[in-house]
Amino acid sequence: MAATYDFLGETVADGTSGTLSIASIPQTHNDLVVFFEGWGVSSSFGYKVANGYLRFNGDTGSNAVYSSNMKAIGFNGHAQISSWVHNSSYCWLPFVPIDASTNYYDRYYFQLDINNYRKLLFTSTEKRINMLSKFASARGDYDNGIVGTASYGYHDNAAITSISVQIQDNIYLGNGSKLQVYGIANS
Amino acid sequence: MSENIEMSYTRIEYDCSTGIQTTIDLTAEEIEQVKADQAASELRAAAEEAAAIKAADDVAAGKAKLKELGLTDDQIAALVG
Repeated sequence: MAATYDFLGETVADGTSGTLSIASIPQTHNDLVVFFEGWGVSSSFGYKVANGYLRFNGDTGSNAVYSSNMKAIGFNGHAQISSWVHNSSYCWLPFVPIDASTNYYDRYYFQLDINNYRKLLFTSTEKRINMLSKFASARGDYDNGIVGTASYGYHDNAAITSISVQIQDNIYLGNGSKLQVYGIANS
Repeated sequence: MSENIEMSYTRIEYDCSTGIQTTIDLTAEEIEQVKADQAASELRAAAEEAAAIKAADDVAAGKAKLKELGLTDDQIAALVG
């Protein structure tokens, strides 16, 4: 039986904030699927891309681990980029497009699959889950961008009840940037 | 179009239990965390860059050593790319 995506909630940026979050996620499904689409706005930032940070349950401890594997593509070449970080307070969202324009057109996208987000399927006291993300980011005006996958781990025993996406300091998420959460109830 | 909009330390949060989206001012601790996240990612980037430079230097040194041993450029390329 095909899984159905039940819409649980979404947060939409108004152009004045650097963080989007979804709280009080219902503990009613087996899995979650999270979508983000957005970019950063800054008139002073000196680079074309910036860091984004994905966080669970507002946890600022060292319970996150991530491994990203991405392909940078451009008119003049390409490169393979890999990274692995553990004991982190966040999961890295790489290469979020930044522009001074509030009407900028390129976006960073990710889809994150979180299986067993309530951690009910564990029989041990160690309830560590790993998640799969696929992402893409473009800089159309420079004819380059990245596509890739990431494995994110949340090594805390608590069920996931909130999810946030934060752009790096002194940048805000462009108006209309969107974070969405869907639930899947497996049959 | 470029506009200067004042950055505010807030988060926009949707509460699934109420269906309401609100804008919440970050606490002092949360603002510090935003800055700490940035510092951590800059450290990570610097470490990765240093590792990449070292790896490139090691490759160059290794190729030079192979050259000293009498291998041709084609043979070295076949071995290490």
